[in-house]
Amino acid sequence: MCLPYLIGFTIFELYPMIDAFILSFHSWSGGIGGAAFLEPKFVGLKNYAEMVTDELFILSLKNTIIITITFVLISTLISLIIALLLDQKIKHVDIFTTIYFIPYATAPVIMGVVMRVIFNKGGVINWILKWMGLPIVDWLGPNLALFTVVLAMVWNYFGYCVVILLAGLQAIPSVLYEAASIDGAGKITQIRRITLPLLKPILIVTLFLETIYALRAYDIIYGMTGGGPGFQTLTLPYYIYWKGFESWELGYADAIGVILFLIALTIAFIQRKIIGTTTIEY
Amino acid sequence: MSGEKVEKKKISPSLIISVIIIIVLLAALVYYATLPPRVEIVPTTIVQTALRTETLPGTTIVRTEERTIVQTVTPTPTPKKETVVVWTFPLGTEEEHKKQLKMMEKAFESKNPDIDLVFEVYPWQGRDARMITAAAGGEAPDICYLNTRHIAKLSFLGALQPVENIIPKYYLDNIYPWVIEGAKAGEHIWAATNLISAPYVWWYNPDIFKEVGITPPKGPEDAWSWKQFIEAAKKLKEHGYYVAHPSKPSVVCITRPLFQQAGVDICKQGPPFVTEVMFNNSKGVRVFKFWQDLFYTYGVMHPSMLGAVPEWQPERELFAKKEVAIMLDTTGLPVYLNKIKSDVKAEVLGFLWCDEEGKEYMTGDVVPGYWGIFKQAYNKHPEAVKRVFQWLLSEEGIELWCKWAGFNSPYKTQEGWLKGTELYEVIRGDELAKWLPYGSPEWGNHPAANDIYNIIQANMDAVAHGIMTPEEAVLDAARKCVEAMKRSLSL
Repeated sequence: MCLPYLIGFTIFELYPMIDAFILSFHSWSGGIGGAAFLEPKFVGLKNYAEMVTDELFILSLKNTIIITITFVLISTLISLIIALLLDQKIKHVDIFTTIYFIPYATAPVIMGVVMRVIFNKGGVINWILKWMGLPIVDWLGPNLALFTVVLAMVWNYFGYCVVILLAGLQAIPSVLYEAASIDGAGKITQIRRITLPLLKPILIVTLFLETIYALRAYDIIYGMTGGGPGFQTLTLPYYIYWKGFESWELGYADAIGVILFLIALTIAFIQRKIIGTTTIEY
Repeated sequence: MSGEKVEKKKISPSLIISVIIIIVLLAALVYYATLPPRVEIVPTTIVQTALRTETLPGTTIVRTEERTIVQTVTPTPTPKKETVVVWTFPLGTEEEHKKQLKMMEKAFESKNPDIDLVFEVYPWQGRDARMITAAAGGEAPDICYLNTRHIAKLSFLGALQPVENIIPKYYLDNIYPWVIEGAKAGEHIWAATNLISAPYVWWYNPDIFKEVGITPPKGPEDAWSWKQFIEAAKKLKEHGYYVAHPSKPSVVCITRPLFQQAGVDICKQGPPFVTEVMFNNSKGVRVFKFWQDLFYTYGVMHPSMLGAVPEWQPERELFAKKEVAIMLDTTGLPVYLNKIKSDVKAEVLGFLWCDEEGKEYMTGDVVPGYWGIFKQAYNKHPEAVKRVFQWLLSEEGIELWCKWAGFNSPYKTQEGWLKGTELYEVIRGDELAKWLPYGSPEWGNHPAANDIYNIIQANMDAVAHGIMTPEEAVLDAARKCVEAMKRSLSL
């Protein structure tokens, strides 16, 4: 049954991954040259060694980590609150879910451009602030650009998390809440003692998906800040694109990609360790 | 309540079998893909019947014997039509350009029926990535429209076919010599241009200038200095008008001229390519200081220009809406205004010069594109590619390519071809012509050009936001550029 998937996985995922890993030990311009340049040149660990002294790599790594941590925290909190509110047997919950889901259906690059139009100095947000007699804010300036990017990413993605978390909440048997309320447990206690523990497996999935989304953030940043001001919102995926497709250093770009993959793997592992296993007993 | 535990599953035999099947299938695929093509020549028997014929009555009747000729021949293969793929990027609007390219295909094929000329039009954005992925997949185009930075990188990587033996003699005899210089590297010529663009000049709105009381320069002899430019911009801002420049990626069109106006260049032009920058000094600081004044100190640049990003290029619209009174652009601006808002006029303000350096270094960008031949594709059918390349450089090819869009021909014989046309009036050809001698090629030709411009642009952006001082920006950019240059040359 899983044969078609395995074929696809092997061709479209496994092969490029292994190839990229091998290429990360080579210097290669993508076979753009004539016969002499078609073959990648083996350089051992040179690409990895160069990262240590590459200022822009270190900066983009730092930005990626900041963006990932802030995004995951804010996005999880907001989507959890909204999912809990939507789980309160309100009418027309489907309509609300759909509305929350719409930003996720927007292509991130479009979202980035829209957010730029909204947040730039002469944009809608500042127009409203001005109208209210408040000072205008340089949302895309050096102090706030990273935060504004995270905000845009949260807006783009939280609807998807809401849908997943809501599905998890609706799967929790209502008898548990009824029994708890008979025992005198208040709403907060119910959330703390029943909802959150039982939502753990779904939360792990949500956190993991959010982490992946944040780690590969490229298009929304491309549309919103272009990695600026200066290099303040330069992230690893953006740097990979730059090195791979503008500097034509595909071996080096692959090496950065491998590092990004390892970071994703480590974060996923840590998340799983901190939050716990998926074994549920009740 | 009962407990639920997730059990660890054993690897199922079906999974193992599936993996084995995949491996076998892939091995078979690789085997067949690497087999050399099998060529078969099958003798064919042609049966030909000669019919008995008669001449008209009154003449000698000749009766020929009815016979059957059976002849066994080796078939002569039907001449295969060679397809030559040319990649290009839109001049004017994509729709207009595609229409023009169709005409070019027809014009070429009517004279060369054995060649199928195919123009493929792609967006300017991300064209490097498109070239790399195509070449990596063995699908590089035969001919591609390139900028000087591409020529440096591609020739350095050995991807381009030298064209000095392919360029027709009449091209070399009739072209302005400096046009060919941009495509030269070492002993070879790597590409050939088919247009001389109008330079990226500063345009102004005459009505706003009149309203504010600013007198524009009359021509190059009266050109504005950086200081005069800033003073005028400050005055405009007092009346609510701004200055603008092109958004990314065209913003690079202002970078090199600014350095040249300050009396330096970004790096030494090769080959041999070196890993030194030339702006790591007080002259380089002047450029960043000028930028800082425009954005940060006086805030005369339109706020939308801060960190201008791709995919959102509002500057022409801002000019049309009269939010912007001075703007750096090509002839695309007056053409755009003529179509969208004909009551808003754009006139030529020209190039600038740096107060400390004088007019000697007054310069602006010209944006000639070049046709280059990818070695990878050329080796497959050199004759066909050669014929297309030569036709693209013919007077007919050049006229069909760019006259409609308001560009100039590189041929002396076609000089002034737009004069007298309606388009010439729209693009203010007479005014523009005065500034043409001050144009210089865009980008520069170091293989690390993309890195260099990304770094310099980011630091100019940092200065515009007040993140860095001009001095810090120069030092930081110089260090990063040198690293990038070293890396590009070690590939």
